[in-house]
Amino acid sequence: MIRTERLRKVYFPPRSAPVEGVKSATLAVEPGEIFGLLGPNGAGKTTLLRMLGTIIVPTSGHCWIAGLRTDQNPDAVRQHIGFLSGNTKLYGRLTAREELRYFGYLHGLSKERIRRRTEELVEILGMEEFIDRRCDTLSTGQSQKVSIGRVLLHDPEVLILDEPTTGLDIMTCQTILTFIRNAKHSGRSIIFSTHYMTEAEILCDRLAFIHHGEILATGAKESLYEKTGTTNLTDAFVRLVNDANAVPS
Amino acid sequence: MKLRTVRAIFFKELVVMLRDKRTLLAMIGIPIVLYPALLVVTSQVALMHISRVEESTSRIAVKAGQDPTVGRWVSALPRVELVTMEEPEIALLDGEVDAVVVVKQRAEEVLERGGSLLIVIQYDSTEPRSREAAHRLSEGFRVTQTRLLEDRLTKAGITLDFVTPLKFQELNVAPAARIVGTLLAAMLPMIMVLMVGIGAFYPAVDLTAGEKERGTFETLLSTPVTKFEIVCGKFLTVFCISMLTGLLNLASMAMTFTFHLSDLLTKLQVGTEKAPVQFPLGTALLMILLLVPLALFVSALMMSVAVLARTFKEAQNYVTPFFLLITIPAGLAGLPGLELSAMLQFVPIVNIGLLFRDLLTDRATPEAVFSVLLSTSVYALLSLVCATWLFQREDVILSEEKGVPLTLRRSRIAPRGVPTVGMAMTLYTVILLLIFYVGVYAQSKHIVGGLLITEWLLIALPTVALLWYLRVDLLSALHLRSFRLDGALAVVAIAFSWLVLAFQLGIWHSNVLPMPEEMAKQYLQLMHLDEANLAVLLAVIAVSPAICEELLFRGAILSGLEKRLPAWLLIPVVGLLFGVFHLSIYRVALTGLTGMVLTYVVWRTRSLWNGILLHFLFNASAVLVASERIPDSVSLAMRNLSSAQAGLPWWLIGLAASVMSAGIGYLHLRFPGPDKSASE
Repeated sequence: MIRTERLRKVYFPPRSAPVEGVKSATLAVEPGEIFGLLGPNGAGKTTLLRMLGTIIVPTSGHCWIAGLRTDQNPDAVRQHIGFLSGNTKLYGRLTAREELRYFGYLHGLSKERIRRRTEELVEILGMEEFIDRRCDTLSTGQSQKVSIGRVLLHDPEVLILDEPTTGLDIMTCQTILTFIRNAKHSGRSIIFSTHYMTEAEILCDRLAFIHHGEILATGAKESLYEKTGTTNLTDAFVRLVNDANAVPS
Repeated sequence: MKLRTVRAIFFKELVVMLRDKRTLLAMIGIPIVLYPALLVVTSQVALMHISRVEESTSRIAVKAGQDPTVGRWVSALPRVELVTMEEPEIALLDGEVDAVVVVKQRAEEVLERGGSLLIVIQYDSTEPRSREAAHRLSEGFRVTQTRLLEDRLTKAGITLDFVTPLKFQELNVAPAARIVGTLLAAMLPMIMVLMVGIGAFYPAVDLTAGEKERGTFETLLSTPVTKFEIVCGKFLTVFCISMLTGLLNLASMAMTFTFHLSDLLTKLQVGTEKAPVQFPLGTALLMILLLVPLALFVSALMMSVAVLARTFKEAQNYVTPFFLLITIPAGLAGLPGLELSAMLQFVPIVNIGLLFRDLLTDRATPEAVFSVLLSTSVYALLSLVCATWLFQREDVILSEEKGVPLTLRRSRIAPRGVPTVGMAMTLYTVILLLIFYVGVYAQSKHIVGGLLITEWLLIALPTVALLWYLRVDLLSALHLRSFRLDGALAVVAIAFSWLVLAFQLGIWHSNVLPMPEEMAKQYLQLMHLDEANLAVLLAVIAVSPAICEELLFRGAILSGLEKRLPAWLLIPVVGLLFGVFHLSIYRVALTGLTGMVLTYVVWRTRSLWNGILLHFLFNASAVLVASERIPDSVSLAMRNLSSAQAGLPWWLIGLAASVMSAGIGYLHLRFPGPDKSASE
């Protein structure tokens, strides 16, 4: 479902030297699989996910989503993606229902389909109470539900979630985690980034550690424990980072 | 581009903008309140002022000890108070009195002996009260003058009419509409540009930087819409709101003036008509038409500027100076004596301002309307291309760095194989403008030098420099990689057969649309310009255009457009661009067709060398034929073959057409064309 090959991104900030955001990322995510991307802030998680979401263009390397190459068919690729990040906020001056209708239109759905999907999502996510309120009056939890509705509206096969739980309270976190699990059960491929190790431990089928733009290790958590001789993800990650720092590449 | 998507974005942005109080205030609040308020306040102030000055009493001073006769006349005038003082001049400057009357002679004596008495009225022109006092005094003295004159004439037995063979009166018959027009013309252009700008301001900032700041841009980018669709949707919204603001202003102003201005004019006693002043409908419609490209231009520019910022506030800081910058040229229209010359018709904003003024004072010509409309549309298109280009750049759209994210350093531009459509069209427009402003001028000064400058400095240099700067692969973009001898031979055949066909087409063309004699003469002059030196002639008319124009058209423009257009559209479009480029309606058709032949040859053979060869052979032969520098036998044969009206004999046309078809057929069969050579 998701496949990348030596994906690399170099930034050219206007007044400083070029920065290698992601060095060479190769990974694959199967349908019905939750893939976790772990790393500290600034490790390159957002850059990598933005490349998958065709928000930015890789400097080199390739990436396939639902069998389509992102550099050749970026618009078609986005039809198969639900993309959620801290930077994908809602339009405050639209109501939740208008918000869903708008994104339905942008995904090319028919009026009737949008109406049906909205009704379904209102029921599934419990949005009856605020579906006709303007988004700038919603609480964080309510907004997050609308965002999930926005992501699921066009029934995408691939979900790209960039730190979906950062800064949320426990109850809202739970909503998100339930949503991710349900998406897995309906056979979607999910790649999500986080810096909460416990969240990843509970949720992910496989994961990758990323540090300074480089993928240090990929695999199921058991294989990562084995590889590093540790018993939890935090220790495994610290070990890998220390090893990487000890042997300068 | 999907229209449904653009429509969805447009309507959503419109709803979002109309739910914003600032937009509503700028769009509806200002026009509804501004004009009536402005008119009421100014008219009230003016009327109050006038009546205050008129009804006040003027204090007139005379120097103590001065002859009393004139003082007596003065104090007899209505609303005048006479004071006597030691130093009246100082009192005048201090504003204690309104005017001073100075008489150095003894009045009774001078008048008695039939002399002329000198009365000096001193006043301060910077003071309205003082001006009014001086006016009252002169009027008063004029009456006295007439009375004294009549007395003297009666004594001499002559009537007043006898010494006044002429009586004349000035009567202002300017229709009120023109007075209104002149009044409006001084301020309307600036106000309209200002209003279109104010209308565009908030949407442009809100839909770009505001959207970035609120963190919804990435949401939008994650949907299957293209950047171009996003730009179009947003741009349409900004344009519509800008246009609506402009229209509401125009309407409000028209209504205010229709209903209240005539009233004001009557009160101010200007003009001769008492009928209500009409805002002429035709003028209003033309102005609305002109508002369209103006709003397009301003909207696209403001969006381009605002998208560089990361926050609403930052964008305001960028757009405000820009906003002031566009109102200054609009203010130029208020300057008396500035004419809408041919040059100014192409200067953005200034041209609209001056044309608005001319429309209101009934002086605009259709040509001026056309060229202002056209040039403003071109600028609007250019600025839209600019906005689209900025939206395509992820460093601009997703910037998290401080300051302007855009860098113009060449090392930061990603290298690419061929130019984009935007690059090609920008290059075309820029070079067209360069030729218009610089080339035509240079050629008028010195024809040979001007032509060389045009070709090499205005066409070839910008083409190569821009492609180099944008890190386009010059060799592949300009189709300079491949060259085959068999192709070149086919091209020679095409060149000569096309020459024959073009000659015949030229004859038919001149039957339909004959070139004015002046112009034809100019061309002939050009051809003979240096009879002694064939080399110069060939260099200027054959070699330079062949190289320079091919670099631009079959190099940069062809490679920019060929990925986006199917071949059946690509070849006519490049040909037509080439035809329009010659800036003459009499040459569009033929040069356009020649452009298509050239485009086909280069497109098929993937080699600019063939284009250069064909262009050279065609122009060189044309030069040789026209300047009669061909062997006598050939020239004689040609003269025998062609008659001035019908042209060449049919067998020759048929032969040329066959040779040309064969040449094209050969290229078609033996050369792979763009698709196959790209996959190789």
